[in-house]
Amino acid sequence: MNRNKKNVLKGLLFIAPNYIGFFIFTLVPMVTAIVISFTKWKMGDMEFIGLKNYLELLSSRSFYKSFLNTVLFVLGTVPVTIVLGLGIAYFVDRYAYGKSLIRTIMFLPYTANIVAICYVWMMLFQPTYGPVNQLILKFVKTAPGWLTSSEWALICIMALQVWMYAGYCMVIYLAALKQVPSDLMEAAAIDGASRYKQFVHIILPSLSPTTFFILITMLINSLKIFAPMNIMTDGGPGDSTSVLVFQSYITAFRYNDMGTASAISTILFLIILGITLYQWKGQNKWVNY
Amino acid sequence: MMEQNRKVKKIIVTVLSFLICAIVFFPIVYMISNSFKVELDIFKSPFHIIPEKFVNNYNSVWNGAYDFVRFYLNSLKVTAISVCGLVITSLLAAYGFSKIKYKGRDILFLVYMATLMIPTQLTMIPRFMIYKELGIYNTHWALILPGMTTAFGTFLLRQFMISIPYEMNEAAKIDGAGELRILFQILLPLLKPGIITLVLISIVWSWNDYENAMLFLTDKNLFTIPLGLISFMDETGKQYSLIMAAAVSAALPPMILFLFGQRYFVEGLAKGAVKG
Amino acid sequence: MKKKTKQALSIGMMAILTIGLVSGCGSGKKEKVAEEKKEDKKKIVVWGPIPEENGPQDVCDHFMEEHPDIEVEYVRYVNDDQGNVKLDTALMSGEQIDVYFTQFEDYYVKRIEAGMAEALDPLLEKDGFDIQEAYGDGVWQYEGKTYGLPTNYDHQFVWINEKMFQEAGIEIPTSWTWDEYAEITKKLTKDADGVKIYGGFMKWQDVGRLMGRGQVLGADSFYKSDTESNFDDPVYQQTLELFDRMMLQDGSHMNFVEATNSKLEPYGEFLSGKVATCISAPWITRYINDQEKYPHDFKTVAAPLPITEGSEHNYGWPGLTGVIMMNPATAQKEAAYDFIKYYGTEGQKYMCRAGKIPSWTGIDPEVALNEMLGENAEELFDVDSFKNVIFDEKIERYYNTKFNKLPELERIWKEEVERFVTGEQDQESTLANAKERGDQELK
Repeated sequence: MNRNKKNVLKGLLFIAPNYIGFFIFTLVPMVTAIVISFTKWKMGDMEFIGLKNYLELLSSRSFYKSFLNTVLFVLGTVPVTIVLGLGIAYFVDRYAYGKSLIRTIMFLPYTANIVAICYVWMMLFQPTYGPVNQLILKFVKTAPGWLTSSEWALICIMALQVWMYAGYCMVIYLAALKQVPSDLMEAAAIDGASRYKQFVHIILPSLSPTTFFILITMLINSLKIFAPMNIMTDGGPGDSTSVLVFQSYITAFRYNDMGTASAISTILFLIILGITLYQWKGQNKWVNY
Repeated sequence: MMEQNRKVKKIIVTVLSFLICAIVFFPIVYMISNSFKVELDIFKSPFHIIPEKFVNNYNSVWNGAYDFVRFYLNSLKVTAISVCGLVITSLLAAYGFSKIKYKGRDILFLVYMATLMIPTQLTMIPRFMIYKELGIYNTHWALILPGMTTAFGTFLLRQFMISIPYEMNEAAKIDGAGELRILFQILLPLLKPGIITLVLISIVWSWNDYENAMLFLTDKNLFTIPLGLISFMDETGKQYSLIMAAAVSAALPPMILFLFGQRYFVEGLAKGAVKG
Repeated sequence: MKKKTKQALSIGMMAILTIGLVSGCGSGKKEKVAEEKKEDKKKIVVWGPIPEENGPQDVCDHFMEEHPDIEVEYVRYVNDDQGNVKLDTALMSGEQIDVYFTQFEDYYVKRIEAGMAEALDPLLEKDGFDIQEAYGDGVWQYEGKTYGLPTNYDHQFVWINEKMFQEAGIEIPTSWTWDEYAEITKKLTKDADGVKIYGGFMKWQDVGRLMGRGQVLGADSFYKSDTESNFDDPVYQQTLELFDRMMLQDGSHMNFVEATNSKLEPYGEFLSGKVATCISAPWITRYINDQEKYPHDFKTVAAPLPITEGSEHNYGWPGLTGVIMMNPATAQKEAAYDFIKYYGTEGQKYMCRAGKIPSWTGIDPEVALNEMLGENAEELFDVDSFKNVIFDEKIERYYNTKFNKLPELERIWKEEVERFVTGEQDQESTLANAKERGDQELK
């Protein structure tokens, strides 16, 4: 009994320095955000208004558009990043010379500074003088306006996201590929299974925990995208690159409407919590260890 | 015959891979190349990767009228303190979550893990209020304190720690060692790769953190590198050659760190991935 | 025994770490407070959008000469969305800002509503300061109260590269309609060795967003009533037609999206000869005078802002601006008021050099103009044209009275116009969308 108590105290003291920080800087703010989302608050008096912020969001074009853009952004980046990462990792692992050099180069974007990269992106995709359009105009008559075009701006930022994370996925897959049991592969080769069959039936299943982890990480990385919009496009042209985090940010700090902004954050928060919970449940279901 | 076939395949894949690498590497080369160009040559058509005329824009960035040195020092300070703090608090917490058994531990850890994935962007408004109340708004503490208590550090080190058998603890206890001594004298050497991984990854994150710095720093004297770059853009009147020199200076430290500590990055990220 | 000591030691260490973490929070603030106490002088901190070397430092220095007991520190913020958010968050966070400037009305409203602005009426009354006498019509009010003094009078007009007009054989107009303006800027648009020279240039933030509605409707141009937006007023359609003609059909102007995205400024484009004209307020004279950074070989001529045919009104916009305001949290109310009054009146003479037309009636226009155009006026400017345009008495003044959801309405108009000028939607749906979204905000 006494020993148990001592252990509790000891354990709590060990986790305290980190846990208190986590409590103040993560847990409390999260709960507070949810509370604020039920109020009307412009930094002055606070008024409890129930679900009104949420109901208003449902009929707001800005919210609808930024929700749609967020979904598009996720769909346009996550699968591409994972397929690219896995594909390159697979081929490089089996066939390429200079594996470590390839790995080094591919991973570099992950360490890059987002502000610096945004400026590089603005120059690369400058519509009239940028090198990308210089190249395109050599072959065709008209080139897209990239960040200045409603159709292309979001795609341009998707490209940035894929650029930053494809190498990261590849590196993780490379490490995971090393752990694919080689006896299984040999047995399959002896049975005369084609490369394709080996890939689908042996490699993919044994990579599934990795894929699952990458999927979740990339999903959340894409859901929280904000910096490129704030640095390069201001959510524009029009509202074509306005995503949920950005919309929440301008609602809070430009419109001064903390209640609505918190409601947007809370919705995103619920989505992410859903993904995390699903991850816990799903882990046992379809992931092969 | 088979052997030769394989060789041809290898060469083709290698060439293709390096082509992809070239595309991936291009923005970085472009940034470096522009940092040595004269302003007028930057948008010249056709563009040259190797500048026609080399100029040292770095001199104007580092010795000019701009506060770039100060931004750099600020970033160094914030990164150094938060990473050191993070290692200590994470080591302790990881130990408390894996080597000491007590009631309620798993619930606490569950709350921890549930929020590991929640991006900080979602809590900007309340954090803004809390920092204000704590008096750390517009000080470096607004970046350091949250930076030294992230759940990620605990999670990562715990992963490394649970692979060390508990018998080591028991043996040490029989020898009369306290928990702290077990952690710092016996386990620490075994955790070295984990700690190096944590240090490297969190240096990169802390150095590149744009969102928090943007939200919580207003005093230009306190700006870290990402904010410094933005104010640099305003002040130089968008002279891209200078901005690119500043951007290279800003992006270089994490990249160099990665080149040297590559092994640890890969190992650490893989550990989180495979066992997560 | 030994074991116990160790345990006590380890527990102690944890405690210290924990306390250190919590108390670390407070330390930043304490230092600041200590610093302030060291000085006997009253210190006020002022946040403004103009770089200090372009005049504000002069104003502060002269003020400190007259008030030796007050020390003024000027901090510059960049007057774009991000810079204004910086100021707002700093105000909310309780950082020491005693006095600050607001350039745009939506920010003015936002700051008042958030309780970050002090109504000056009691202080003005006590001082016997008569606003009408000092500035005439058009001082910004909010629900009948004055929250700041205007430090300059801004209105937009057309800046002309004389050389390009001569080369094209076009006479410089002294009055024109928007139709004529579009025609002339189209003629001036050309291709010079692969580089496109635009006939005209305007930015969204200081020109585009007020085009049409500011000049024709003046006050409360977004509001039909308290609960209905005004985007179905013909003025909005006319404005879109003009944008369509200039940016999409003739290509005589770079579209707003590209201009903002490339972070271009009117003076930069104008002085590097990439545009023949630009629309801007007089603050760009300071760049024209800076021949070291912006060398150019042409004379600049001023032409009035074109008028809308058939319109009864010709309001100048944005009007009395550069509003200097007081933070209610200030500990130095009196010193802050003294500074606001100084900057709002005689201090303005040091700002003319930076291209600010004084708002205070106490400054002689002639003197102000001379200051504004600088020592090389004859060489760089067509002085007479500036005299006529800047002090054009026919320009009317206005101020707004409705502010509900103003920042949201500004954003809606911006987004819909951007979608229009990038060809995403046609004129009809632009107006319909703006109207629908605007009404919904005000509902």
